[in-house]
Amino acid sequence: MPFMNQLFATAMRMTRNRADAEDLVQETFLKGYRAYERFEAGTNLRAWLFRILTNSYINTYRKKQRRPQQSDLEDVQDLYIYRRLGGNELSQIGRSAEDQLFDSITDSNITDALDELPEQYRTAVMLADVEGFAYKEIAEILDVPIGTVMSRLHRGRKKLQEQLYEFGRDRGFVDAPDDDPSDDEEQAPVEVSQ
Amino acid sequence: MNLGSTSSDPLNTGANNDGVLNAGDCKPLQCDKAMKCIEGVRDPLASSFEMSSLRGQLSDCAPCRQAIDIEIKIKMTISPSASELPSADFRMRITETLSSIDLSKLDITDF
Repeated sequence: MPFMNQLFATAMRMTRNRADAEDLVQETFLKGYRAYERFEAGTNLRAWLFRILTNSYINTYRKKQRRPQQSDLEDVQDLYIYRRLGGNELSQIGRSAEDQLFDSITDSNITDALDELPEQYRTAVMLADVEGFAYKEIAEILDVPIGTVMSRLHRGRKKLQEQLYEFGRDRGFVDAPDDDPSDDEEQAPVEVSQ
Repeated sequence: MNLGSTSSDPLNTGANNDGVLNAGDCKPLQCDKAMKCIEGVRDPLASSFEMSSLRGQLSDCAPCRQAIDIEIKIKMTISPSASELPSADFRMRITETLSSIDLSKLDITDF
């Protein structure tokens, strides 16, 4: 099965549920096999399959999500982790603050942080930072302008940094500096009930 | 980065009176070169080689290098951790399903 692992990883983050992810991937392959005659040989098969995956998710599974869809993210500072760790050397000799932070982050922290992102940002981050699609490819997969892709990535990545930093701080591996007084006030995300 | 006399600090780098930038003085968000490098690292297609090369362009600025290092670490951390694999059982089931069905009879209209 071509790209089975990659499709499954993205399906897991989309559905946040293994059973639904399996169904979504199976549906993707069924549609892909069925529509293969429409695929232009020599073009990007991986992006084509991911587009099927994304459309299938939107048409079938998004409606079933019980959690209310967050449509927006409160703004987060750029370079969030750097701002809090920049120049901050821990007392442990030879280890930088960021080494300790990233060593403390587990795989489940990563997936939890991704799952906390609103779906549109989560999907963009998955396609870019996990699957390594180009911005143009992501725009084609999601059928949105490339500017929209970059905007979602920019905000999604900032929020991800904030989440990862919080995980490290909760574990006590990062000194928790006082909040930067120049920080903007955080706004509550807008929830859109489906 | 030694800026020499910085009594006026024309670049607004926050350098101390000795003209030497210390960690926390330089502000990567105000450094165009650093921001270009950071955006380069964030490019989904940036390879490890390209990321190292971008980092090397900031060899004279420790704070900017640290900002880049963090971005690289985030990038290298997310990808493998978020790549959950399907079970062997699922692989077998889907292979059997696809090989046993008559695709011409499937009613898939929303592709």
